Amino acid sequence: MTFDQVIPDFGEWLFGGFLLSLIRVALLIAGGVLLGFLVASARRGPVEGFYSVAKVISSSVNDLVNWSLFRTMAMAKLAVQESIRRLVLIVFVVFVVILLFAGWYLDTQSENPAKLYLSFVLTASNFLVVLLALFLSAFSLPADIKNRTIYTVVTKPVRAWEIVLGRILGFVTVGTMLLVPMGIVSYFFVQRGLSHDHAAEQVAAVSAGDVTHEGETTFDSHHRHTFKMYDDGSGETDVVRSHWHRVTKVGEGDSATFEFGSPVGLLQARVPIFGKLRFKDRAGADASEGINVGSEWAYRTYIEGGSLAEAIWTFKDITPERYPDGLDLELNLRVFRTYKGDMEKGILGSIVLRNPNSSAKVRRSEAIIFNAKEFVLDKQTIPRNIRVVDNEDGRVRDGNLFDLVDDEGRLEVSIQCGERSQYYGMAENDVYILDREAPFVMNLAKGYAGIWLQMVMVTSFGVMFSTFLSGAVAMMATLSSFVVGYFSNFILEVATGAKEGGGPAESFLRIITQQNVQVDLEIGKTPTSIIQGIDLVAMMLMQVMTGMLPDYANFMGTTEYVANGYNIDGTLMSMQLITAFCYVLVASLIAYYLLKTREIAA
Amino acid sequence: MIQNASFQRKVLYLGLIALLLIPLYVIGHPATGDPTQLNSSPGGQLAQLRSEYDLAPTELGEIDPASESMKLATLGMKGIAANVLLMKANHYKKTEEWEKLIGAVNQLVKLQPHFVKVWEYQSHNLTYNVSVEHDDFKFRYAWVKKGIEFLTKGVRYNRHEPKMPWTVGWYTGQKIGRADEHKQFRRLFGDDKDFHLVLSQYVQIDTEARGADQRPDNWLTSRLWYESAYDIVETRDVPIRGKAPHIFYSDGPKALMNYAHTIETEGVLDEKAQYAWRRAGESWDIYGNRVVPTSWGIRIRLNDEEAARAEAERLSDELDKLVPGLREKVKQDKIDALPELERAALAKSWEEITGELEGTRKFQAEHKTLVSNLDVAEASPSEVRARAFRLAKQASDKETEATRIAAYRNNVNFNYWKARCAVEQLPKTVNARRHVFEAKRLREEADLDAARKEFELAWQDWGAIFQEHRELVNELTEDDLLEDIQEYIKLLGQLDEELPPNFALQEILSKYMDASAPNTEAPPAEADPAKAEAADAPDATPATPKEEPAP
Repeated sequence: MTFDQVIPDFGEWLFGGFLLSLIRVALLIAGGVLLGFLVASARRGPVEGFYSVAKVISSSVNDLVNWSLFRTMAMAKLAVQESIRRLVLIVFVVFVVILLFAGWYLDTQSENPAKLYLSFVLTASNFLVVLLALFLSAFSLPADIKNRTIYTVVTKPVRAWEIVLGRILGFVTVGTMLLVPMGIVSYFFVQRGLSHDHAAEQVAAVSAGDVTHEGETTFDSHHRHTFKMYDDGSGETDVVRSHWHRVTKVGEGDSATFEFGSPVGLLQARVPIFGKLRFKDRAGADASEGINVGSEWAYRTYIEGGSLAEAIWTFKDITPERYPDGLDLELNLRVFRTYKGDMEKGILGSIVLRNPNSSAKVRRSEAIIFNAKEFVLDKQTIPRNIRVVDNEDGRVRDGNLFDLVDDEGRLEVSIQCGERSQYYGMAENDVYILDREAPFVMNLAKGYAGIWLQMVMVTSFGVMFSTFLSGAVAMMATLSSFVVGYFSNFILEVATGAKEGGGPAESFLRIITQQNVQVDLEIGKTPTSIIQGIDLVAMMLMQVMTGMLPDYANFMGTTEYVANGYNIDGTLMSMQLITAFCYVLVASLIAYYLLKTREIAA
Repeated sequence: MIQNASFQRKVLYLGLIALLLIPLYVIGHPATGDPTQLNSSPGGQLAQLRSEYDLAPTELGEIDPASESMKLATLGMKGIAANVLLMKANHYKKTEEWEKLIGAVNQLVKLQPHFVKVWEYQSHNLTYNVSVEHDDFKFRYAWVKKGIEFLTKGVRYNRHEPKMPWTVGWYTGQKIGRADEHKQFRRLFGDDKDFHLVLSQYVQIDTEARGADQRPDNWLTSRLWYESAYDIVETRDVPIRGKAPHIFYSDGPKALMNYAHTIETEGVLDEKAQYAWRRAGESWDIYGNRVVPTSWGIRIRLNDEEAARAEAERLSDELDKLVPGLREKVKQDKIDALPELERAALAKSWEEITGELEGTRKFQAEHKTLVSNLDVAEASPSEVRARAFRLAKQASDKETEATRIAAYRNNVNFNYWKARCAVEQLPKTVNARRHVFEAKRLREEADLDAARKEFELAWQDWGAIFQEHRELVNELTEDDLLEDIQEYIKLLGQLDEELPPNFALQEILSKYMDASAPNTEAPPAEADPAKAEAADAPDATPATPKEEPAP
């Protein structure tokens, strides 16, 4: 399982990038006002121009002060009624039809069916709701203006601000009315899709320690398990396709039967506590990262086995109150072998817990030996009572896990690969402390909240464009803003030259002339300069555009948390909420001014 | 008036649409009714062309409603959708998101279910490239299995394409049987009853592929897949694309040989091994009798080389009888016509030749004085010349045929495998291999003296085999026998002894190895056909998880 989402620190995000963006927005607004002044001055002279702008601003303040919730709600109600008349609820029917035929397209033999099912329902809901928001918001106002039904509204004492907010609120209400049942249906769809049962197929009595029986289950839902029964009558299966079952023995002797519980481990919302990762190289010196073993994807780097190389994670806030029974470490390491060795055995490694305080009495724990497992979550439970190495006499003695935690609640977890010329690969998120299991339903709801925020933003943009564009053009503009926002990372890479092949003009030329992106353009010096000049302007515009639009891919990324079985962090939710709120506010403001300056009923 | 104009326009548009539909219907309407009945319709021109070239989806293979609805949903942008999915699949592979990768790949083949290359490329990706990314051999096996299962679905959608079952056969045989983890893979395959159930939907794995231990064997299963590929070619008369026919047909019998060889390496050294080799030999003989097309446009049978050569010789003799002594006379005339220095060089034996220049002269002289049957016919008296030319032509044709068959035989190492099958099924050979197997086991247990005794017993048997089958000295020695001899030499080194001067396989050793160097490496890979075959295969699993190119 790969989970490379990194949540920045909230403070850094707020005071670094976010506030900077707000300042940019404020500057843009100021620029807008200045532009308005210049246009008005050009038409009516500077004094008249100034008065025009001042009048618009003062009436805006007036509109804001006299804003009526009642009138806004009335406008929202109209928007809801209009949407229902336009049979938008058909979207829900489409969603149900998609779910009905989902089995045709979903790989029922997947190793991680929960991830697949959840990704599917969340993606389907996301795109359907965004499309709905797009169509509803972009066509409504232009249709009203075209049919002149808007006259019945603007001739009433309704302010432009209330029309804009009312529309957004109404369409968001409709979207919410669809999204909530979609979420509920999705939950039951996933539950039903993953639910399965087994029966015992082959059972043999054994006497190995506390194991009394070993057996195999029937082949159901494209898999089977092996299972073990213990002398206390309980039992469990092995983990296959990311889940296992509890087994209970019913009856005694030959008439005994085995009952298998529902799958465990499929729908999870783990709450991970991530640490900060640092490396030491083969000589034991600090290194900025591990070794690249030739992977195209440089997300993970590797440490060499049988050397002093190690990967050290520093975790914060480790307290006995928080972890009274010890720590559950979850590892998701990679293995790279330079020779095959014994293929039936994994590569051995060791975990050592260390106190970051170099003058502590107990500096480290005894090494915990483990076998690296790839592509499964390897849970290592570190009990509270562990063997530690005394710093004074170097002896190994019984100790406490929290002896290794410094005064600031920090604990270091060091991992080394034990076998020479073999390597372990890791990234920062590959080792974490499992804090607890959060309720899955809540996590799913948070995932849907991420979708909801996208819908709200798309609606705001749709309403904004519809205040000055015709329906079809407004829809295209909203769609473009969504597509550009969704691919903003890619566009930014193109705009900054990080992607090979040049800007849009150069890329187009390369496509039609079939020129490789790695070689210089073969069209002569002057034409190349012209093309690159055009690109320079286009790339600047692209940079500005990506900076102004919401990064929808980031919002969609929250659904990945749900699909991968990780709890969506509160920090992430807050960031997204604030971001979405700001975009809605800015879009509403622009929409308000555009609608206000448009002479609808003139 | 305006309303009237608008209405008229609408009627005009509708009329134009209806008009355009007529030619569309004429060329595109599907066939109806039973084609053998009089009242049936062969359909429009497009339908007829589709039927003629087997391009209709129903002709190509199974139709999947999911696939059809997905194609429909792309609204004519199937190519773009496929491209996006391919890019996504590559991305997921890079970021090690295997579930998403297989999801994207499954969607991709739903869009293009009759595009054989997509099935081949992606199944190779799963079987070879993804499996090798996993450290745990059980996971590796699971991905090999996924790749094979994936390709079997492709077989259903492309029932006219022999390359599909052939590739399944190749993966089942070569990937499971030759990967570095082949021992583990073969064990897992034998125990994998759920996979057997899947495969039994296509081939008779339960009855035809049970190995020495009565569990399904990967090599025998692969043979069944090859056979089903051969069936497609034979029964549907479709071309074999991307593979020379004589190589295509050789893999079935070779799977049987690989099976026989593998069970021997696993310690099955009794009548089961003998039977396996006998069966392989029979299969190779059937293969030799198969008529295969060649790049010269003629059809040959690999077993016919000897007969063609004998016939060429007979015709040549007949020519010589027709014009007695003429061949010698022509040769002498050619010698007489040579320049002095070349004649002198020709008169010498190769041992007497000194210097490169003289060697070149001798070589040129030999070449110039070669007497072909046509030379003899040309020099023959006029009263028999017509017959002489006919005989010469026939002999020449037969020689050409034999030469061509020999070239094709050489491609598949025909003689080697034929000889090997003949010898391996002898009780003495199986006995010799059992001694070697025991010797290796004892050596691993550090019982060096007992190991040496077993080796010596093996060499006695091998010596006798080579005495009885002299022809094998040039053929069979390319086997892993050389590695066994090397291991014996190492064992002697451990005992501070040297290879005895009367070593039974000295002749073999002198021919293929430098016996004086105990640490001599095994002969180069191309000298060992089994290894050469593995090297040719897409399954050259590297020691490190290095990505392999798709076929």
